[in-house]
Amino acid sequence: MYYISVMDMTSWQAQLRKGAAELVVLATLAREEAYGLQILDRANKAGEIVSDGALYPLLTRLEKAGKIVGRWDTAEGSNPRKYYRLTPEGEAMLGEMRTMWRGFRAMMDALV
Amino acid sequence: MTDDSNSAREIEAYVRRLTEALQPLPPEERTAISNEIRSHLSDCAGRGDAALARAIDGMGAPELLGRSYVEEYRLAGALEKGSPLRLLAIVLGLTVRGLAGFLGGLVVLKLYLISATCFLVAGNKLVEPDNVGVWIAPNYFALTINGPAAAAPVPELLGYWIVPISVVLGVASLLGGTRLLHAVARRILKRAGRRLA
Repeated sequence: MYYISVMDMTSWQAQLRKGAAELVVLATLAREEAYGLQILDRANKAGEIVSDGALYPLLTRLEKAGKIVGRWDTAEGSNPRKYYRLTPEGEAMLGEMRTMWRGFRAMMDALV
Repeated sequence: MTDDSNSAREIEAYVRRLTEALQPLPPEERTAISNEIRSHLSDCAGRGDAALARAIDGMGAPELLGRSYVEEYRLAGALEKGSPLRLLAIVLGLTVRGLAGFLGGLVVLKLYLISATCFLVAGNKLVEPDNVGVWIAPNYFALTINGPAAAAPVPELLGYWIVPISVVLGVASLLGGTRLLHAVARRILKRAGRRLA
């Protein structure tokens, strides 16, 4: 009898999520500009892909790499928020990632 | 005391610890990161105490989050500036927690030392040609930079060919070491970004 530990599956699932986080964040921002909590809500609508603690370092990295650009909205009476949107470079990267993702998914569908 | 003020205190306590963990960063970076995390936690607090607790839990310990930012900042900066020695120091400093990265850093260090030795051999051959060379015989091998050539039982093998050979080996070790160093640094950057996912 084979025993599959919950830890094994949780770790494997976490690895899948990690690989998908960047694509999910870029795809979320492709629809419209958004701030952190909006990105999390949209990215995790169908299940948790990105955690709060992973999102912000990822946004910082993407911004430094020129894939997204942020602007602070400090309108009076509301919580100051940093809104992000894709740059043309980010759009190009997203296009490439989508193509690769579709190819990968088709390959896995054929195998699994 | 109201729930709002409790939430505000909790948020400020988290941000204060995060800001302390971000001390190695320039002030403007530190402020930008702290403001964004404060903004996020305030948005979550607006949805209730449970949402704030989930957000803080999802962020992880402020020290860990701060360390992730600092490591990424240092590595990205060193990669951008292209200073191999600075990058090597940071990589060796960061990789003590990961065996593969640490071994990679040691291999890079070894390649740099081999490179330096090769350049030393090439340079010294021009200054002291009789004392620099390779001597090989059964039960005898010597590669000396400034050795007593007279003690060798066989003639030297390479002559002045040792100069171009050493230069080529030195350049190859230097370039190989630098490429490996960048690969290790990028790997650490990726892992740092994914550690909290």
